[in-house]
Amino acid sequence: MSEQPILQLKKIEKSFGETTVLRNITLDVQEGELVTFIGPSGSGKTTLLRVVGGFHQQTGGTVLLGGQTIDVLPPEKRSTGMVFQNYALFPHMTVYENVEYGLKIQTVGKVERNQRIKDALQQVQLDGYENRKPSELSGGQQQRVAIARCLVLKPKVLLLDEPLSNLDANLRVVMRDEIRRLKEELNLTIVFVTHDQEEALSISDRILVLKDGIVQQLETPSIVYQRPANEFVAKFVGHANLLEGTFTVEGEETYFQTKGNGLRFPVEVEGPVSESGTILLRPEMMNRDSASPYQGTVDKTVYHGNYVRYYFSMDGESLFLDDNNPFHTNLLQKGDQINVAFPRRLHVLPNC
Amino acid sequence: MNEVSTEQTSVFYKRKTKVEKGYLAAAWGIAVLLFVFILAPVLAVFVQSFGIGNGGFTLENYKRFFSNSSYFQALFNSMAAGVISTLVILMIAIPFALYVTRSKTMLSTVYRGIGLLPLVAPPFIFSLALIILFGRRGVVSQWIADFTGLEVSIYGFWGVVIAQILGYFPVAYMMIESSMRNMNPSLEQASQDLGAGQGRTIRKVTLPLAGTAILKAGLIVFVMALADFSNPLVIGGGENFLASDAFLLVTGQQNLEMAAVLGVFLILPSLAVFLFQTYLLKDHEVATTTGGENNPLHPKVKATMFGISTLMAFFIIVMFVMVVLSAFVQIIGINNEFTLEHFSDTSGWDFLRNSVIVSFFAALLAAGLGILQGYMTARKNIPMKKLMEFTALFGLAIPGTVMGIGYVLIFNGPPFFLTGTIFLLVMNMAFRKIGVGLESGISQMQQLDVSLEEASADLGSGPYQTFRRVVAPLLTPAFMAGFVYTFMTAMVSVSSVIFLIAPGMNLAAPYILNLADQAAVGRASAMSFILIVIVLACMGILKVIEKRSGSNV
Repeated sequence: MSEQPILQLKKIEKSFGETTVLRNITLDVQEGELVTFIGPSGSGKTTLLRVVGGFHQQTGGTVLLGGQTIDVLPPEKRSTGMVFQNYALFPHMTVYENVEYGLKIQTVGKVERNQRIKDALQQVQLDGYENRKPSELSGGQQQRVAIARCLVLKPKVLLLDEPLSNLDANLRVVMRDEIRRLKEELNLTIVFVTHDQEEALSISDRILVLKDGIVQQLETPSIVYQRPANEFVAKFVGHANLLEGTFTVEGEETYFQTKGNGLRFPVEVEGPVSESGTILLRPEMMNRDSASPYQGTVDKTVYHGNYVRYYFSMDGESLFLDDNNPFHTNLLQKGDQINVAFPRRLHVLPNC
Repeated sequence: MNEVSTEQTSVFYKRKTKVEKGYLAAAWGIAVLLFVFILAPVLAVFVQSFGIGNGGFTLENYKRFFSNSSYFQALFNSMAAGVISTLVILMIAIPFALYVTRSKTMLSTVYRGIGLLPLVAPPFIFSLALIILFGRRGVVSQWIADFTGLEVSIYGFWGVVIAQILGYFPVAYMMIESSMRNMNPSLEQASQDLGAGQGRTIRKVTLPLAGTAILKAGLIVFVMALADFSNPLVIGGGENFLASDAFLLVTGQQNLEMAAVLGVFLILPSLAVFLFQTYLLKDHEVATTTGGENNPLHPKVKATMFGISTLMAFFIIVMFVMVVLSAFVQIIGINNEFTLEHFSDTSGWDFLRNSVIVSFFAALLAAGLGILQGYMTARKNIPMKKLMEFTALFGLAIPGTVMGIGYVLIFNGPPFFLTGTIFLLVMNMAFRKIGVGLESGISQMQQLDVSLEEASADLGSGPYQTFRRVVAPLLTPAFMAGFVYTFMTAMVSVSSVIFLIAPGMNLAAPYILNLADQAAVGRASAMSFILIVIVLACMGILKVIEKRSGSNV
C-alpha cells in the first residue's frame, strides 16, 4: 500500500493547433520523490512541466495535486513552485524582495515573513546577500535565489526547468548535489527537466524518458540505464552497442548469434529465451582480455583520460568498448588486434 | 619561439590603438560638419538672445520676456499643453502596448499599425482633421448647431492638446511597446507562479520593468509637445505658444532677438531631458529572450485594455478618414460632391517632388555618416569621440524651431547666404537626424563580435578592405533603419525647414501647413493624402528591397 501520491498526471494530452506534443501521459509522484523528465529537444518535457505549473492548459487528461484536481486553476492559484531556466529573478528587486514577493501576496505578517526569508536564504546558503540585486550575483547564486524564492512558499511540488543548463560544468555538479541535499533535508517533492542524461541519472529517484510526447520508460536510474525499455532509451541514456541476432540453446549453454551469422558467444538471459532479439552491450561491459578467443581489429582509438574508447570490427560487426583502466596496458592503435571478453549476463530489449 | 610570438603581439597592439589616416580624416570631417550644422546654430541662438553681435551683451530681451504677459503666456501654455498631453498619452499608450503585445489576435496587429500610422503623416494632420470635424464650419459642429443652436469651436488651447495627444501618441507607444515586447516572459510567469494575479503582476513586475521606457517616452513626448510648432499655428486660434510665437516673431516682425529668447526657453527643457536620459537614466538589465512568447492577458484585464485601445484606434482612424474624405469632395460637410479639383495644385506637386529629393539625400547623408561615425565610435580610437557622439545625439533632442532660428542666424547672411537653397534644407534635415544613424550603428556594432574584424585582418585584408567587405555588409540593416526613419521624418517635418524655405524653393509639409493655416481644407487634405501615400509607398519599396537583399544573404 503506497501513500496517496502528491502529484498525479492522468492521461495528459496536449496539442498546439495541429501538432500533438504530449500523448497519454500518466505519472504518479510520491511525496519526497525527485522525478526527472528527460528527452531530446522537442520531446515535450518542458511542455509537460508547464502543464503542471499551469502555464499550458492540457487538451486532455487531468492533473491532481494532493489529491485535488488543479486543471482549472491558473498558475498563481497552484501550490507549485517553478524555477525557470533563466531564473527569472526580478531585476528591479533585491534578493530579499525577490524572496519576499510571494509571501507578501499571501499576506504573511512581517515578523514571520522575515523569519521565513532568513530560513530560506540559509537553506540555499545565501545569508548575507539580502540587499544585493540579481545583477550583482553569479549564475549559481542567482540559481539559489530562484530556488529560495520558491522554497519560502512551501510549495507542494518544486518544478525545475533545465535549471543547470546555464551554469558551467563544475558548478553544474555542485548545484546538482545541492538540489539533492535540499531535497533530502526538506523532504521536497521535485520534478526536474533536463536533456543531460548524466544529470538525470545522478539526481533522480525515477526518470521519465520522453520522445515525441510519448513516455518511453518510467523507472529508477539504474533500471533505465541497465535495462532500457527500447532502442531509443538505450541510446539516449548512455552509449550502447545494440546487436540484433538469434538465440540458440546447445546443452547447458545459450548462444547468441548476430544477424549476419558472424559473431557468436555464450550468454545468460533472464526469463524465457525467445528465438531472436536485440541485446544491449554498453561499452564498459566489454573488456580487453588477451586470454579471450574473440579477436577484432581496432578502427579508431579515442583517448579520454579516465578511459580509452576503442572502435573495432569483429566478424562483420562494428562495436566500441571502453577500457576503463588505461594505465595497465599499452594503448592500441588503428589496425592493431584487440581481444575482447564479452559479459555473459545481458539485457535483451523487449520487442516493440 | 616565445620571443617571436610576444614581439608579434606587441606590434599588433600598437597597430590597434593607432587610427588609420582615412578614418582620422573622416572623423575630422564629421566633427566639422557636426559643429557647423548642429552646435553652431544652437550657440547662435544663445548668443543672439543676449544681444551679442547686435550691440553687445544685454539682458534686455529676457526682461522683456518676463514683463510681456503674452510671452509668459506662451511659456505657460506650451508647458501646460505638454504636461497634459504627455500624461494622457502615457495613460493610453501603456494599456495599448499591453494589449498589442499580450494578445495574439489579428486585431492586435491591426491596432499596432493604426497606433503607428500618425508617424507617416505631417505632425499637424490631426489639427486639420479636428478642424474638419469641429471647426467653425466643421461636420460635427454643424450638427450640434442644427440640433442645439450652440456654436462649437475647437480652436484654442484644448484643440492643441487633443491634436498633440493624437499626434505624439505613436512616439510614446513605440517605445513602451518595444520594451514590453522584449521583456522576458518568464519574469511575469515567475510572478504568477509565486501567487500574484494578473493585476498585481502588471503593477509589480511589468510596469516597473518597463519603467525606464515609460519615463523616457514621457520625457520625449513632453519635449516634443512643449516645442510643438504646427498644431498651435493651425488650431491654436491665436493662443500664444512658444514655438509658433518664435516663428511669427522671425517671419512677421524680423525680431530675431526675441525669437532667440523664446528659443532658449525651448532649448533648456530639451537639454535637461537630454542630459537626464543620456547620463542619469539607467535601464534595468532585463534579460531579453528571443522567441519567447509574451503571456496572454486574463479576459477581464484584457477587456479594459482592449476598450482603451479601441477608443484610441477609433479616434486615429476617424481623423485619417476625415482627411481622406475631405480630399475628395468639394467642401466637406457643406458640399459633399465628389471632385478631384483639390489635386490639381501644380505648385503643390512641385513641392512634393522637392520634398522627396531633399528627404532622400538627407536620409542618405544622415544614415551614411551616422553609421560611419557609429562604427568609428565603437571600434576606432578617434579624437573627440565622446563629444562627437554627444553632439550628434544632441541634434536629435533640439526642437526644430530652435534649429530653424539658428540656421537663419548663421546662414541667412554673409558669408553664407544659403537659406532657400536645397543644400541647406538637406543639411538641416540630415544633421537633425544623424543621431539615429549613429545610435543604430553603435548598437549594431556592439552586437557584432570584434573577432569578425580580427578574422578578416588575419586573413590578410587591410582596415579599409575589412570595413568594405565585412563591416559594411553587416551594417546594412542599421543603415536601412536609419535611412527609413530619416526619410520618413524628413518628409513630414516642418518646424525647422519652414524657416529655410523660399517662395520658389518650398517643401510639401510646410506648404500644406500654410494651406491648413489659410483654412484651405480641401487642398490641404489632398496634399496630405498624397504625402502619406508617397511616404507609405517609399517605405514599402524599401521593405521589399530589404527583404530581397535579406533573402540573398
